[in-house]
Amino acid sequence: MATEVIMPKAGMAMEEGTVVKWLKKEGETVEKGEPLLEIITDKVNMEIEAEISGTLLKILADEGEVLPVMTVIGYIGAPGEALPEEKNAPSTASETVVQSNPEAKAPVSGADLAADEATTGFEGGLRATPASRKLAREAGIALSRVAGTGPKGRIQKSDVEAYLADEGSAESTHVSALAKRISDAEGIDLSQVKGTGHAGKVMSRDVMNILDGTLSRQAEASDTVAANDSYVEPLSSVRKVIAKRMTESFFTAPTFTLNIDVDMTEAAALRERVKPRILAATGYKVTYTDIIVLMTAQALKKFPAVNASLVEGGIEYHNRVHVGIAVGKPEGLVVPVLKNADQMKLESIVSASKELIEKANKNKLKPDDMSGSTFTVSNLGMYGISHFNPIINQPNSAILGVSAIIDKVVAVNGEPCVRPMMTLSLTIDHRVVDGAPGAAFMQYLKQLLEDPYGLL
Amino acid sequence: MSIKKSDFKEMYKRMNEARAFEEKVSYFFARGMIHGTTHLSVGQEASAVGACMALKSDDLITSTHRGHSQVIGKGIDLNKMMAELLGKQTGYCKGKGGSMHIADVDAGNLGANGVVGGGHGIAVCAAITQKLKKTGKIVLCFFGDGAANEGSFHEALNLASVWKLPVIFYCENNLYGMSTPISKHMNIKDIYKRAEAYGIPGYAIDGNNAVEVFNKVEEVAKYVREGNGPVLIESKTYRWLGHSKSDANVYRTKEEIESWKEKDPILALEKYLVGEGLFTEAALKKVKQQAYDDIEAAVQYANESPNPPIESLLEDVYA
Amino acid sequence: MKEMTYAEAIRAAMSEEMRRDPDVIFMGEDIGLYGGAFGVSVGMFEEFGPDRVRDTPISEAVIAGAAAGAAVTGMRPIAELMFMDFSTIAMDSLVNQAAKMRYMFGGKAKVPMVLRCPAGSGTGAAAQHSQSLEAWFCHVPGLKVVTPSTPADAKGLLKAAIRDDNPVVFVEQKLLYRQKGMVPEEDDFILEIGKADIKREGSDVTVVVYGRMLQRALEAAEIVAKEGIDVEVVDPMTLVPLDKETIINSVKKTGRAIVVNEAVKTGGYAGEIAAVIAESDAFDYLDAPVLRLAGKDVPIPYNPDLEKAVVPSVNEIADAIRTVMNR
Repeated sequence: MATEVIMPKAGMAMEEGTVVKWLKKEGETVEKGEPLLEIITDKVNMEIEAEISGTLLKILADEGEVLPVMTVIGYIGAPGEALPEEKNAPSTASETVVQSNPEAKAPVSGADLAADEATTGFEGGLRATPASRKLAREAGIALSRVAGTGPKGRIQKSDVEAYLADEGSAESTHVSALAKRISDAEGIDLSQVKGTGHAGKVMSRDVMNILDGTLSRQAEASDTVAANDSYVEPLSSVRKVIAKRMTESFFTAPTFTLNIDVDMTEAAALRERVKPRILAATGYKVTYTDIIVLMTAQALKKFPAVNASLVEGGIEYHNRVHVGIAVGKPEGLVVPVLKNADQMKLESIVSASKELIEKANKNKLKPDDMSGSTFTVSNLGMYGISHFNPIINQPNSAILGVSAIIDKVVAVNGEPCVRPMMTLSLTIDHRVVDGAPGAAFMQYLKQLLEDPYGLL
Repeated sequence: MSIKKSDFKEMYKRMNEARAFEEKVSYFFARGMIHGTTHLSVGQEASAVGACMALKSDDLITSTHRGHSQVIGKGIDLNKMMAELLGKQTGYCKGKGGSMHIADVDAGNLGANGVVGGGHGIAVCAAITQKLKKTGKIVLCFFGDGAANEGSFHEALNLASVWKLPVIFYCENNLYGMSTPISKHMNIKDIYKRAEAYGIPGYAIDGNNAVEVFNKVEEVAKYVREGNGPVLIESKTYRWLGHSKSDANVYRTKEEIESWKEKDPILALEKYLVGEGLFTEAALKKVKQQAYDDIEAAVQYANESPNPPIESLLEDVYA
Repeated sequence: MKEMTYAEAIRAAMSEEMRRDPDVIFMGEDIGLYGGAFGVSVGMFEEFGPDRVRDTPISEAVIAGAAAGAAVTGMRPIAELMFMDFSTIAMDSLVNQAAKMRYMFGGKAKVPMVLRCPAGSGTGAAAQHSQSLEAWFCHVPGLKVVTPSTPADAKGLLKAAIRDDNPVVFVEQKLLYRQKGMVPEEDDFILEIGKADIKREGSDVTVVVYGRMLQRALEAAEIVAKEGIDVEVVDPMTLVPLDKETIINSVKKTGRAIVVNEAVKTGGYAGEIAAVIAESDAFDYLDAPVLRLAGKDVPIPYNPDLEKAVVPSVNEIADAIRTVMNR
């Protein structure tokens, strides 16, 4: 019988660990005591040694995957040896998930449900009626994700129905965390991915294969273009909305763009200084965008003309500063809104904006999250763009384009000096804002970024 | 004849207790105060009491569904018996047995039986115990004419005979197996003759004559106690009332019933005792009154007794 | 249709079949002039005479044995055991003889007999006159076991049992003898043995129940209906052969099942029905554990309060329904 490799509990309080790196591949032999993989706990990185000698038969956890302790992450045994039925949930963790984290719904494959059913001994297993199990099996839902409302927390059919209703068009594939992140980032529909992991689990390699396939198909498609001149891809609904909005904006608003170069030396220093504290407090890294949004919000308070909208009967100057953040996604642009950004400290901006971006990536943004902006920031710096003319997100009167921070030789006090330089581009609706107030806003913003402590 | 004057008094008293008891039960039953069914033995008092009086107090009996006279004859706490009839906690069976299952195992009453012929095997087995343990006790097995047609009757007589067990098979032939007259359920008139088939002695007695009953049973008991094996006694008697309280007596005539009432075993004993100059009528009247008073007291005791607690439902299933 | 009691319906079934088929005879203790311990056969002795309505001695072993012997030689005997409790004495004739003849003779015999067994508690007759022993007979291949719960069912099923070529244990409910109901009068009113009847349609819970408990289940269903619970009541009517399909389909519809019987719980037929549900297609539809409601595992006590507490009450059935509904 193959021996399980588990995510070890390496400390009293340790509840989960991350697989950093497998030091052996499937099929390789390991000696007892030989490092098998590297994990990271909430405290430290550590190497896990093989508990027995044998062949690493199966790897069940992708690198990067975060798993509860005691989860089976692989098997060691004799070559060709059959694996036991999957037990990928730790014997005590399932119920915890049900109790404490009912929202955390991860889709699962049918085969995986057998594992759920195998854990019905109630020593921490799942208590569920046959009807609920059947429905979950048919719908491809992991019962461990469903909160039971029956006696002793038993999952009833109605609980699965409620889950399904809540879930809407639930994705229905059991995936590793890494595979999920990749697929989200690349816009891959996981329900179409065939999992090759244990019990049909979708692993990152499966997603990568799809991605490779897509790329090669695109390559084929371009070949086809060469052969057939062109092909038409129908507009998605998101694409249609973007097309309509942009056309409206572009053809109704007489715009011009103001560019300004900003020395980001001090902003970078600020970022480095606050990074550990904010990470500790929020769990997120502070980004340049966060700092720029902070400063922009403060600047908007001082220049209400830029924080305005053209409405019937005149120009509406907003008392509140709601900053839209453009987030590019494969299927199209979305602009979640950071409400009352001028009232926020950097720390709040970091956590609030990260949450919005995460929601955007998971397609979880609600209409509320995307409405009411008074100004928009669009950052293309990560692509190395030096400057660009963003199109205004109506009914805003202006949009700030943020380009890459690039080390440039600039004259400082008459001496050539290498500084991290960044171009900001402000596109203005000339119906609302004239060049001068726009320029003054930019000048002030530059001043804030170059001397962040000036705010104090 | 070894019967003493005090024995006659006690016999007379127990027969009156039995009569009074049945009259009281009949009264209660008609008023819905007694649950279920009950089989009254009015008319059979001499047969039952006379037989028991001839036993030693520690001898054993098995009783029948028509057993009130039998167990009263054996000597019983009337209070506990009445309480059982009323289903009370203080009853012999804690209210769980009722009329058909009065038992007092410690006093040698191995229980009335709801199953016709159910006592045969028990009596045989009880007799084996006495024989093996050399207790010197004997077993008297009450049964009716109807039970003589059950397989268990034949099996029990045969086995007791072969093993020479100390049992008196005591058949109270009241002429009807429920509604079926003996003429329709067996082709003989005398059940005692079946004894011959099993190689044991068999006797018939007038079951309405308490003195005759006593004398014969006493004689037979001595024979059985000496290790000579079982004996079958047929006590010819009659029940005045229906088989059970739901019986309309359609299968027999009023005249027949009346003719047997003229052979009332209690009156017969009274006549004998007065005639022999053993007791005055006044003395017997006093004894009879005492019997009826005792029954009234038992009724009062039973009425004042608590019902069994509902938790007791699950008790005593296993030892 | 005519209103009659359960006892009258049984009498009608026997009388009709005896008029129709001269091979049908009836025997038992005190069934003649007396009319049976419960008055079921009143008047039959007068109509059919002593040859065909035969009072027997108190000899249960031979009553059942004689029935088997008569049946195997071409008669269609109906035998009455005064109380089902006395079937103990008739067991050999029934279990080792009647049930097995056909099979062990290689299919060369048939044993068309009916053994009528008044069963059940509630009469104050205590431990030896109150039992529900149907499970014993269900455990003997070769016997059919029928448990009618209404006058019409009793008539239709008894006629079918008399016409059946196999030994049928016909379990009657003593406490139902006086229950009235509308009963078809037609001579050809026959209910199929092995067919269940849905006594009440519903969508939330299936209550499988037979015998005296049916009425209680129906009352319980009305009580919980006021609480918005829609109960389906399925009466199997025949325990062997069991109409599994009707039961399973009902449970598939409702997702919840309670089995109710009067007999003691341990080793009882309710357990068999629960197992049938559990191992069937219906398993995947179950949204609650299958419950059994049955008699307590004790002999029937004499005291009326204790006796009542032994078997499931209307309230207990209603509570069980609420339990499976998580109410």
